[in-house]
Amino acid sequence: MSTGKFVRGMIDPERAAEIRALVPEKPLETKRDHIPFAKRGWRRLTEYEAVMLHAQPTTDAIPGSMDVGESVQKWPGGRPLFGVESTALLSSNWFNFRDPSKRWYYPYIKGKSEDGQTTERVMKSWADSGDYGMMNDAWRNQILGPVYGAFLYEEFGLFNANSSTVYTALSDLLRMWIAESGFDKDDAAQMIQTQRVLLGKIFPDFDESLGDAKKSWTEAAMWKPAREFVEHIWGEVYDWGEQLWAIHGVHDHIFGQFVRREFFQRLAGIHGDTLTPFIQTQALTYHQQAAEGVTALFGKMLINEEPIYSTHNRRYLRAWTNQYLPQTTAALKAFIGVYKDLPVKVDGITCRAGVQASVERVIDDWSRRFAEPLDLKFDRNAFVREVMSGY
Amino acid sequence: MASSNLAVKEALKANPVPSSVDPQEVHKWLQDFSWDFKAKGGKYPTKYNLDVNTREQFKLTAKEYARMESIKEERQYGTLLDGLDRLDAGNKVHPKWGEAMKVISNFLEVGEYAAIAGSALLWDAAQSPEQKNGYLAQVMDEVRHTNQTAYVNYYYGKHYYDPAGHTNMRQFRSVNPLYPGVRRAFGDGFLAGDAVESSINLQVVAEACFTNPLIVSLTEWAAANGDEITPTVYLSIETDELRHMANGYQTLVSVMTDPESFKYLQTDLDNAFWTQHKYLTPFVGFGLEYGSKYKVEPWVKSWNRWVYEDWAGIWLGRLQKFGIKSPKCLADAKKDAMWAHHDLALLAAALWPLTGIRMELPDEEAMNWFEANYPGWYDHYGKIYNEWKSLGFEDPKAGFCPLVWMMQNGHGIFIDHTSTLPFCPTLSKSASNPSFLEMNGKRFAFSEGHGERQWLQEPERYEFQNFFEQYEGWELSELVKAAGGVRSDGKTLLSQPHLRSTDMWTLEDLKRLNIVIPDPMKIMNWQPVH
Amino acid sequence: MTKNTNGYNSGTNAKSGQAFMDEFLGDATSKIPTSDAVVVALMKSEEIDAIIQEIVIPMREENPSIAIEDRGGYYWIKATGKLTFDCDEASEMLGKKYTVYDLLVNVSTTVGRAFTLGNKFIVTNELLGLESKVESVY
Repeated sequence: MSTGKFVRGMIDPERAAEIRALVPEKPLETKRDHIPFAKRGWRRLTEYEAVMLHAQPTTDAIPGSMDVGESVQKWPGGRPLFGVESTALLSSNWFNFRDPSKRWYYPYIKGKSEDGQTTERVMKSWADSGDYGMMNDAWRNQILGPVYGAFLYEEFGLFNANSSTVYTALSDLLRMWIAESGFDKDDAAQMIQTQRVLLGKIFPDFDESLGDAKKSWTEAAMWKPAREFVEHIWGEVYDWGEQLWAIHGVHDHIFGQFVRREFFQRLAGIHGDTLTPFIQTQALTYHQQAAEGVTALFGKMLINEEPIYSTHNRRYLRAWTNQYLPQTTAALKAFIGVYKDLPVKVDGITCRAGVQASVERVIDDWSRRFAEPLDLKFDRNAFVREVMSGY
Repeated sequence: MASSNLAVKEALKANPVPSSVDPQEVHKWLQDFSWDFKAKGGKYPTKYNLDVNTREQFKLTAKEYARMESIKEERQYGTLLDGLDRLDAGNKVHPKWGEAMKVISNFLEVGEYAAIAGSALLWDAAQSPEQKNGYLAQVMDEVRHTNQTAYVNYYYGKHYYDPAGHTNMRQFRSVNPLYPGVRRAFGDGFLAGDAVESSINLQVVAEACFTNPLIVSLTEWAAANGDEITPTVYLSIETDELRHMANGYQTLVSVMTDPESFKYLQTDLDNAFWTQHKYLTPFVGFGLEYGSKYKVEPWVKSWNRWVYEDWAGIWLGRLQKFGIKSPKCLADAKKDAMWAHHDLALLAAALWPLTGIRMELPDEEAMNWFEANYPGWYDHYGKIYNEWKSLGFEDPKAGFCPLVWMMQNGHGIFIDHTSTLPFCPTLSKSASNPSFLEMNGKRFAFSEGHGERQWLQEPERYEFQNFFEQYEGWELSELVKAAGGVRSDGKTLLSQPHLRSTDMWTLEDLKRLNIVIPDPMKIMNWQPVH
Repeated sequence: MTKNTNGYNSGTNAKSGQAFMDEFLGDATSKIPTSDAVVVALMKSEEIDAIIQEIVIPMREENPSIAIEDRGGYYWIKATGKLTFDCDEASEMLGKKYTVYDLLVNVSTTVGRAFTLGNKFIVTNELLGLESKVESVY
């Protein structure tokens, strides 16, 4: 308990009385709307948006900024921070972005905490109840060891690719959403290793160390196109709009979704593995939220509701899609060879028709969400054929 | 021990949960998460060599971070939305402090926001996966802190009897001459430059050194003045800062053992200390001592404790054996700790219509306190305040403007080009060595030599229009109106030179002063005195 | 006034007015000092109040340099050498699961080198990574 030595104005009788005497009967100002000067965007501001919008002190060269003038201290050489040149995309008001998931720090972090605590309980129950006994040994050692472990690097690499997007994004609500998406990727990588550490504790023959997984990621042909995409987008692309689109709008919505959902989540069950689907459900949820944000940023804000630069933006997004789709196609084609190594084969699921149905599910969903709004000419059947040639 | 405690102990012993995974068990693998490839190395590479083997001291995973932070948030918002709401805490605050928080929390928000991007820059530049993980957590922390500092203004806006300014400081600050300074030190200084230089600014100096007095000891002043909102939020903010300080320390460790890197370190440390100090020392001291009715301790003593004895002594002192030296500017910084906030307070009072808050000049009790703790204060500052009072500083009908008084008495106000802080060469008691330099046909003012040297070495980093250049020729009331400085009745000013609810200044009162913003560099033709 | 050199208002801060100014601005204090102390600020809460009473105050028996000061919203603690908070001990005392990361919910600042080691939180004057390794229990 407090020592009471410190005099607090709220509870010290003398100070409290002095303060009370200074408070007028009526407020000096009746208008309590927060940031009353702000434009609403496409809907009324939520409480969080009112708290956060225009927190960014920005040069007035960024459309929508509240500040007057330019940044005060610059990089050696004179480059300012938060410059519109950081992306080829254009906006009439970069502060129009609203996260469709309406996530802000508190609910976001609370949700992740709940995911973590649920995981803790599920893993304990899974281990204590002996559920692990159902797991196919070869699935564990040949798939969850090197393949699942290698996928950790894909998630970790995309996490790192988000560093420069958080650094250069042009407005506050946008930066918050991107930071959360980056954090989710780091989490997804760590959760794979969390699961592998547990497997290492339970199964004496399971090696949770990452040597084989890293070797697979860096050397195996099945990962080469995916790894080269991750390395390119992490190390070489400076346009944050291009990065976000390429990561969440193209590569991860096709390749990432396939690996997480169609491969690990769907096939774990037939190998007696009930834990992997649970872990990957979290990553799928995180991706879904990222995809919604991408749709809101690129589809809604920069194309549908952008009064001036819509055509310009659409042209860029099409060009970027055309640039990254072939590499994503190659990534999926290379990965799909893994089916031949599956310990358990189930007709209708792991056969050619079953796998093709998986590929079609993923690409059709991508097409609906991302290609159609761009009026992108895209040969769906050719994509499926090309990917399936790797089967 | 209570029987229930024993039961818990026994239960834990009986069930050692072998089926769980400790976050630190996962964390130990992080260093293996990365791989080498040709383009790896960061898009914003640093002149320093960052060691790939650098460790992160708190060993947090994303999920455990989320659990910990979720508890912080639950407790903080629980206190604000339940406990403090029921206590009507917003109206238990002394108005002097309630007004000061309009600027303090909003300006701190600038730093927290910039730190999101600054931490992302480090996340990009770091080579060690553990370090990247630590910087990522800091990115999320800074998102939280931006929410929190903004929420203090939001909460005040909903509950305090004068929400004006709490609700719209993000707009009005554009015309506050004190604002560009916080943008430079706490904003641009955290992210516009070499990643390690940014880290030294952000984590080693601003966070490890200045957030302790700014965020921790500030809560003492808040509580003393009836504000329990700010301690609830700020003390929780600071629970994240210690991890950032560790990030900064590990950034130093990661470059200190490399001679090629070490050669840059002292210069960047000296510059960062002066950059952060130059703004934060006067700003925080001004906020605490002039924004409060009930004093806690002289700012210079807080500075001596947190900045000199603890940060310099504990943080830097033991690094001396590895070659770190005292910043060359330390003696001047100490002089500033005595006087710079008083210099700033005088200018803030002179520029009161542009501050966005209701402020009052020190009363007799405050003057006695200042004189007792800063001997010589009255003769230098107190006399001026008393003269201003007698000339009608508070009275909207008196037609007195301290800004005009200063110009008429030969006390020109200039903008120090590097820090962007206003200064008055003839009234400064802080470490002052003014100079005026010309480059490419433009004249620049500097209040002292350390900032001048920073500009001389890298003038292209400081190319911008200062307050006077931006608004030269604007009539003052027009500028205030354009920046949202009028209340909802359409006439009463947001800023006031007193705390009363009567005799409040209106736009008309300000217009009658007929002040057109000058550019003192053009009209004063001031020359340095040697 | 405390005789502990780590006390809240010890050293130069024990002086006031002109005497403080003379010492603070004097040549003897114009260079950075070297201190072997560490500082921790603990935000007040039910758990922290108990930890102060049951864990920190008893630490003084082994380390009399520990100074504790009530600063309104938080406790300020300064000590020579090292401060170790064992959260297994806190957990037992509080009667609930209390990990090192639960403690960190209320650790408002540190001056020194702070780190977690299993379920312990340690603030030390050692230069981690330079004089000693960042240890892990795993």
